[in-house]
Amino acid sequence: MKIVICGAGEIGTYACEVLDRRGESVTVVDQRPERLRFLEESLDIRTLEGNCGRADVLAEAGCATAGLVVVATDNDEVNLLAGTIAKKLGAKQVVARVHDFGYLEQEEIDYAEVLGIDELICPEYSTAIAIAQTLRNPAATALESFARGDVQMEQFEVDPAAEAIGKPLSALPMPAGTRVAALQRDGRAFMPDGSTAVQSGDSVFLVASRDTLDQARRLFRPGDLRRRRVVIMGGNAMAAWVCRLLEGSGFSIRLFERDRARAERLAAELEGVTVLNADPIDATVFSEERIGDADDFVAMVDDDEDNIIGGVLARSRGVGRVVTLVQRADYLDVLYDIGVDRAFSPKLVAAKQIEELLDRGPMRTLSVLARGQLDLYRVTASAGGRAVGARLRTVKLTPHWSVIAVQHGDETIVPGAEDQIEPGDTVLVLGPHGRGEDLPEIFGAG
Amino acid sequence: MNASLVIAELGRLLLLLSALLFGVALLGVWDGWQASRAAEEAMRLAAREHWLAAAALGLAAGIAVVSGFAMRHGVAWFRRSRRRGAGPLGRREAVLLVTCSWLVGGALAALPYIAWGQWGGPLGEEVGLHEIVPCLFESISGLTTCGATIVTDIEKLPRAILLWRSLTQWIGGLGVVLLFVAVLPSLGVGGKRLFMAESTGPAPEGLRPHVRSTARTLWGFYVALTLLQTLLLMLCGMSFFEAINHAFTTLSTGGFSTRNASIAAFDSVAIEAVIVPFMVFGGVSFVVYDRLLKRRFDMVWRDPELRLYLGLLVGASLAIAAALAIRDEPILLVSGGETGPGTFASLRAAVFTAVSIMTTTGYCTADFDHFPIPAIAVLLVLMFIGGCAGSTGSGVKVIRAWIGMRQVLGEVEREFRPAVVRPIRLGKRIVDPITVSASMSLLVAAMLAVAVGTFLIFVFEGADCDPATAFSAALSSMGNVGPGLGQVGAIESYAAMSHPSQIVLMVLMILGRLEFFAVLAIFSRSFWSRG
Repeated sequence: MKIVICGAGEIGTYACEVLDRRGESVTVVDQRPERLRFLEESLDIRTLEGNCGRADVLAEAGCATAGLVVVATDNDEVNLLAGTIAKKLGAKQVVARVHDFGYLEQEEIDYAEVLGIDELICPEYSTAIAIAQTLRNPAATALESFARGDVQMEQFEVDPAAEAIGKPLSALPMPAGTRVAALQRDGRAFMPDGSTAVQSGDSVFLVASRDTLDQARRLFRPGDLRRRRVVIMGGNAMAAWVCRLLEGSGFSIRLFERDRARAERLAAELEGVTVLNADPIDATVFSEERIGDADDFVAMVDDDEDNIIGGVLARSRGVGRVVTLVQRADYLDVLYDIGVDRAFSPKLVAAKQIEELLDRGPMRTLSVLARGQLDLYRVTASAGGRAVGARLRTVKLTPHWSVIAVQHGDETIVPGAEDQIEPGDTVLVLGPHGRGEDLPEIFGAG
Repeated sequence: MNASLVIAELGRLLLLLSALLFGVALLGVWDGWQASRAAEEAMRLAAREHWLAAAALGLAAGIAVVSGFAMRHGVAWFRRSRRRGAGPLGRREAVLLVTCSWLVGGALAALPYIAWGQWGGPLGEEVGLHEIVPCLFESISGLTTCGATIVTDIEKLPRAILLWRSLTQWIGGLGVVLLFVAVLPSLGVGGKRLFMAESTGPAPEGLRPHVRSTARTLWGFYVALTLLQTLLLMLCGMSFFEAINHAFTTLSTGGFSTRNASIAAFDSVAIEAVIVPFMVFGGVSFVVYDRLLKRRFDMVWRDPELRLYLGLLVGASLAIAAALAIRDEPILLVSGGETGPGTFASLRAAVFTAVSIMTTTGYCTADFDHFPIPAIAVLLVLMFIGGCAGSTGSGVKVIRAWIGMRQVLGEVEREFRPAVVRPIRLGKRIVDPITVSASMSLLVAAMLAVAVGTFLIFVFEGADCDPATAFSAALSSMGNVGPGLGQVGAIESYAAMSHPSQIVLMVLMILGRLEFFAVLAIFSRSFWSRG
């Protein structure tokens, strides 16, 4: 496929590498010749020097015939403009990256729709969602989130003292829009039905909307009532989002920001978060604030090395769990070995989002779970499948399949027995590994 | 400084007051005429007092008309001769005008008392209006809606004088609301930031219609509430005259009564049940009413100061009621009787007293001088806090007390956590540092004023003044409450105070009413300098 990437910044460069590896035909547009020369030397791609906001430059890059245009310069407004132009020139699919999440969450206007751009992505926000989800469920062994975090799936071990143990699933007071998608017992994963009872030692795959997840999880992990203490180092936009996403869910958050003006702005924005204008890694601050007693230490300053060193130091001084943010994907492999429990990279998140767009076929495997036993599939439903157009209650999916989310238009829900799948909906299904060929029979050939 | 503008506006104020004085004088004439036609000998003798009151009010009205016209025409003549336009009312003019209004108004409002006191002979001496300083005290206490009185036997005053006394508080309350909510914010003076969420910046021309419409709304609402309360009080069995007098002094949170025993004289649960909510209304920011009329109910519901204010009222009432109930002794009334003990009597006395003190009204039913000490301590705190910013209530205002408390708590946290950044929140809003500093300064100024006032009263009163009297008199005057403790307590008056002390208290009343800085500004050298 012909792909045009506008902007050879962090995300653009990484996308080039990933797409080049896949063997796509990539053209990169940027105003900085030295960046282009660097890319040209290391990758098998075409480069073009010019302003992405100009139609002639985009036309020359081949937007008219491109299968995918990714606009990812440092400037949000240029990205939106270039995205619109590229679409008008005839690009099949256009993705624009924005830093300011405001472009995505506006209630009054849907920027993507108005500007004719297929997808707006904000990797920083997606990363913040992932970090918040990690912090919310310390026991989870696997976490997935869909539709910008509206629907989330977690895998975790059931607490032996949980209310749910020994009761059939249908008898549990599960909130609406939540379900147990799969269970793993003695290493073997299977799809439960209403009569299945959860046992001690089971691992649960819980799917829920963002608002009901905590409530549903309490049935399986009553957990300790103590507020979890989270320390965040660095007050960038992502940190603020993490704080907002955790708001009201029983966290005691301390946010350290070294810049005074930024700290003041954050303190004004974030109610219920203690903002400190200090460096948590400073030995005096660390001991006075008793950061060693914290449950989670999230390092998210703008410098990778600072994050890693900060995280490792915090871990060595007793912090329960360390989460760091790194821009360079090169570091990811070694981080766990040196004491960083989880690492997140907005660049990787962006690349994953872009890659997903490339595979907009009727069916795709999103991830492999439960030690290779389960696959998470995304299928586009079409008429002809036996589960399409009928209430889910009437469709026999067990023991193999479990529908975890249905995206209908802009809305994504965790379907209940009375919901039905319409042709054109995007369906997320959990099923046995390597059995994707069975899906067309159920959801249509696409 | 454009002094001609200030003089012209003061002239307008005098003309307005003269009209009111004249109206009240008519009541004196009517009363005098009625009394002179009465059958009984005693009534005919009383007619003299009514005539004198009418004459005193008429004299004041005359002086006001003459000086008012003189000031306005003088300014107009001055402008013509200098070929100068009126020019805009700037900050300095507004600041000067505010203080001068209360001083000039206070002097004029005292005239009827002085004249009547001088002419009245023995009766004037009997009630305490035969000297100039006490008369000024009474008039300043009225216009600042303080409610402290030097009149020893209120019930002996002619009706016209009584009505004028109540009316000064009504005018004072209205004046404060109009100034602080409608006029001054548009000039960028005063604590606009405190109660104007959607603040409109100062713009000399563009804002005029806004100021005028806000002012009209506010004063319409003020009149409507007063009439409503008059009606309700009449339904509870009060005469029209007493009902309107009390309505004048309730919403304005003034506290002058027509009875020596204040509200206790009526001994009616129904009347108290009417007065309590209207006192509460008086202590609410009039911005809230403006929003109610504009149907912005969500803003009213979320108003953090309103919530704090109501919360404090309920909390303080319950605390005082508990203190009274636990002591379980009869509660002394201002009327000389007693009530209780019992839960209802405790609650009734506690609610009325807490509301009256916090809204800085100063009506009394129970003699709180004999409340348990913890209850008195609560009352003293309420006296200091007062009502909401932009209300007729005085004190340092709920919002400032809140900001001050948050600031102190923040300082405590910074002691062990110097790096913490914790802005002061008010609902969803952040209080900007300028407002915090202005509020802290006002709190300090208020405390200093009370301290200095207490000291001066000690000096002037000498050995026969106890600390509770001196302190509570200063605090009560600064907060425009009225009654204090001890020798200025609920059943006493300020008549026993020496004249220098009364002057100190008058200064405190004006400082507290006009929130210090506008008054103090005119004593600063740079205020007057052209440079």
